[in-house]
Amino acid sequence: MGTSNRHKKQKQTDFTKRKLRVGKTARQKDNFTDTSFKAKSISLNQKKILSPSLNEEGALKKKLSILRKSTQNLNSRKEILAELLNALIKHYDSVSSHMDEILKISNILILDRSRKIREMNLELWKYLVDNGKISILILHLDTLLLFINSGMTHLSNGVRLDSLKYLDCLLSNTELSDLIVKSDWFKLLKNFMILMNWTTDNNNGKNLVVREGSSQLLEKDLARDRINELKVLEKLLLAGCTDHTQYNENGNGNPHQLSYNNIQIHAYTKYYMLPDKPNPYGGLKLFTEIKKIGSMESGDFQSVSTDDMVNRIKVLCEAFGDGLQKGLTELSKEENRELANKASNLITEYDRIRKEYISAA
Amino acid sequence: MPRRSRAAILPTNIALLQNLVRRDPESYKEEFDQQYSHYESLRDIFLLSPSADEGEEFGELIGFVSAVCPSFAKETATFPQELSTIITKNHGELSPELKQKIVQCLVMLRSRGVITPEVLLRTLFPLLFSYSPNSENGIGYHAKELRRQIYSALISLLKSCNTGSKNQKLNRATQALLFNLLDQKDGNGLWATKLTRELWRRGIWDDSRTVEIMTQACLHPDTKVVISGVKFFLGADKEREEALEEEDEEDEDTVDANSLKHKMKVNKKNTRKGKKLVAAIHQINKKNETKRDPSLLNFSAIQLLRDPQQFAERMFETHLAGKNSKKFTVDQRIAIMKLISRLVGTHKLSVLGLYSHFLKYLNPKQKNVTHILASAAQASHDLVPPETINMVVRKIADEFVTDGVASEVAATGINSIREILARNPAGIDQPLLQDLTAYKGSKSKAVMMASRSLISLYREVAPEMLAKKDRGKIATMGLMHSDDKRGLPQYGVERDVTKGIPGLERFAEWKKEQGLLDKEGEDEKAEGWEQPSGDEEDLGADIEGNWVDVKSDEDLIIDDGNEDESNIPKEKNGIKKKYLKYMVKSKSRKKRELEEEDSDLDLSDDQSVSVTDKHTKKRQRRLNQDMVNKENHEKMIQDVLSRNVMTPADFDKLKELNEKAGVEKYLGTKKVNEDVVDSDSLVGYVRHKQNKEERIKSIMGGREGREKFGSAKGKIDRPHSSTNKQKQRKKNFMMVVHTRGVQGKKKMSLRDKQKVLRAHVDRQKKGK
Repeated sequence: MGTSNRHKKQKQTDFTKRKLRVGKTARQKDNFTDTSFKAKSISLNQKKILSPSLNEEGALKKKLSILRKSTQNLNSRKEILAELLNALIKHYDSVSSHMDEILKISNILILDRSRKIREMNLELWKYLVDNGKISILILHLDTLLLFINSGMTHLSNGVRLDSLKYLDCLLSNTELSDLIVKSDWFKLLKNFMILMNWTTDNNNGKNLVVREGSSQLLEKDLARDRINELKVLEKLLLAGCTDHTQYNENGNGNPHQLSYNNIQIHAYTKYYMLPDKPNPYGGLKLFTEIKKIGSMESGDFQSVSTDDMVNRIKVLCEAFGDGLQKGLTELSKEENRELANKASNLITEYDRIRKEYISAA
Repeated sequence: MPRRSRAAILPTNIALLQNLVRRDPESYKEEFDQQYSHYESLRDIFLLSPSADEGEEFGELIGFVSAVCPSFAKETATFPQELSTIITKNHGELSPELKQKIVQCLVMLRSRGVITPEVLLRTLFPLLFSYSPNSENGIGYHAKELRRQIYSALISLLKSCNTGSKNQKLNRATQALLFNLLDQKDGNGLWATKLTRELWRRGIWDDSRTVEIMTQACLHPDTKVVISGVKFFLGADKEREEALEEEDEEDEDTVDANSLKHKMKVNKKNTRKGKKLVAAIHQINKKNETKRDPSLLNFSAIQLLRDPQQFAERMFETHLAGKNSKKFTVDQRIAIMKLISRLVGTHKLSVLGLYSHFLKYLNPKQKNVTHILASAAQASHDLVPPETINMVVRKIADEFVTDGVASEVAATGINSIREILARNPAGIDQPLLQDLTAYKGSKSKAVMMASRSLISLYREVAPEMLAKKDRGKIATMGLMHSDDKRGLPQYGVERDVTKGIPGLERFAEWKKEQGLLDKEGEDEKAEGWEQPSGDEEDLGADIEGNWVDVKSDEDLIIDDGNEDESNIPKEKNGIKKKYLKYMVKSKSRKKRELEEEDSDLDLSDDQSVSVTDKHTKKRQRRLNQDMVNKENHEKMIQDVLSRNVMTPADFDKLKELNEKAGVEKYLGTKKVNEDVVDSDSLVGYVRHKQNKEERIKSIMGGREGREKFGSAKGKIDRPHSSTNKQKQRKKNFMMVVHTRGVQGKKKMSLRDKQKVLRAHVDRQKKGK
């Protein structure tokens, strides 16, 4: 207990209260520790779950669930997808048993917000299609098409464009494309029309809404997008409106037919076998709870089964023909050379189909 | 291009798109088509596997489509149907948010007029109880929130459809659904009662079909449903009144029309402002008109029952009789008893098993016995055989009013006996009554008061049954004049029969005095005056004595109106004055039961033949006069009733006149069997010792407003400088240290220090 002035002052300082003032930094605490450091690069530990390999049952499930949720960390999702793709390419057999689940997630990823993920997902599909692993795709074709359709009408532009890439990927295989045009012809065409902003309404006065000014179309990127769209559309039209069976007979013929050549098989046997395409009675709409009752103009076509080519051509010409033609002629007038060419090619193609249809009728 | 720039923002935000589409549906048709197509594909995805994850975007789109639905009626024709299919078929798998969204959208579509209320009702109603624990697939998946949402949606649907004119079609449909729900004998019936009760409370449903739903609920096998039905009948009307009152209070906040008018007078500067104010006043008046429609009558639920007798009997048999009551707790049983006795009392039903059922519960140790006593009182009315009532009364007297019980118990017993007997005075025999009245000298105030109330009841009803000293002056006088004799109360004789409107003759007189009667029609004037003269002729023919009786008040009128006619009876008025005075006096006492008196008088008329002539003559004269008076009365009443329609103002006047004449007192004390017996009031006056808090409170209450008599210490009102005491406290310590007062403390002896310390401790303890 000091009695001297100095001691008193020292003591006093401990008990005085520091005032906080606006604009001044507060005094550091006595026990303040400086934790700052300098480093060239910082790498944070990735999540532990990434490390175990895909072969483990639980691990795959967990990874897929992360992949599915768009709220998860984007980087880890990308990594998972890359890993998945790698595994698929390197040892397909080990992963093939889980293909069902993987495709389910992959469906959802069509609508994903991240462009990178969509691209990687597309690679996965391309791999499957290119390497002839089609059976699994055929099994899920209905769902795949649903998601593609949904993607084609998505709010965000990127998703819309990418969904066409997926469609393109599926159409590149003849077996798949045949099934696609059979099951979803009307819907795909309708979505295409909406996507291209071509009206199907004939009686409407203002018949065309231009998506972009032609000056904008001079920009390379935008024009390329348009060209891609037209390419996919052409592919779709060709797939729907040309007779593959004829082609098959001219060429190699039906492989099934050949293999059983030496055995006599009843002509109707195939009707009693398991069907070779998914949901063979889908056209009957036996189990759908929501049925279209509406008497819209195109509603008549919507209920028409597009299993055979004649019907498809009919739908194309009658429901969408005018809009298609108008839209294409509009595009063929663009200054962008490539685009205009593509459009005019498509017009001639369509005209040919139309003439055939009219002459047949 | 302004549109394009806006379109550039479009794709990212569906809410913005919705806004744009709603503003200008024509030009945004393409965007709508795109989104609708997107909705369709999402719907298909969803139907393929209704997983919980993909709900968010889908819900957003549903909201979008239903918001712009009215603009594209053709394209979205099937949309509402799809929504309702989705929610009815897949509600088990939907995520809670999506379910909520769909319900919300359906409600919105209804309010936009896209779907009819019936469709909405049919979609939502089954969902209300599809998750309840009673149903088979009871998945508790956020079911509570959904149920609450649907419930409030249904209520608001019915409310909005029933404002203005009632939508009977919808009401019928809903009630049919509720009936069906109650037909299935499971706990889901609770929803029916809940919904009905709420709608009743808000005054949306007020017909007998609604009440029929609740009777069905009351006879339901499920305990909970029964109890909620019973509670409805016991408390719903009170609830409704409260709710309506609340509404009224809320309405009071609106602008007062009178003040507006005044403002208009004062501030009127230009015509535009004036017009505005006129319009405002017009609106207010319109509002006031619609606020309480006089044509809407509030019938109580019990009044609206279709077949009360059968209902009461079935309630008693299925829920109380035999072993059936075992499934209910005591409180629930009491509630059922209350309801049945309420029904019995209101409609004067006879459910005789009920009274012996009460006997089982009537002992002081029974829980909530006051409620049972109250319902026993409620169940008694004058059409119950007196023996049955007597049985109950005797049981109560034996159990409650004996020597060994506490005074509160005895008071409760006597009070409830009084309530029973007020409804059926014949239900007690004389000795028992006199035993009970003997408690008037009890030391306990509660018992004494109860006993006295019993005495005063019987003074009115049947003074003969009381001991002589208890009868009181008026009753004894009445007994002495044997014409007032009513006899002992008898079973099957109705006592309180009112004919016409009580006090109407007084009203007629008043009207004549005011001269209002004549003014009403000039043409009728002559006829109006002819009639009384005709009466007089008739009277002269009928009655032997050639005097004609005119009431004292009546000649007043004649003086006013027609002097010629008043001259004739004037001489005779003088002779009759004495009698008239007497008559007026006695009449005011007897007015309550005019009709009954009539029959009594006939009886006494017969008796009087055997008595001496003189007496007979006197009495006969008096009786004749009485009868003539009465006839005059009836004439007058008929006059009033036949000539004009009574307005509410007339009824007010009538009431006022009745009050003046002191008749209201009688009318007020008259027991109506529809009155509810309050179980708390049966206990009577209870005085408990006050605890300290209460005492202090009352002391402080006494001191209020007497500040100037208290000490003035430390309470100087005027502005003042610091007091000496404050200065002393603030004085520098160093200046005080050396004073003797402080120095002396050190030098104090141990004993003194001890004393000071002790005093200090004591002061601390006192809290000073």
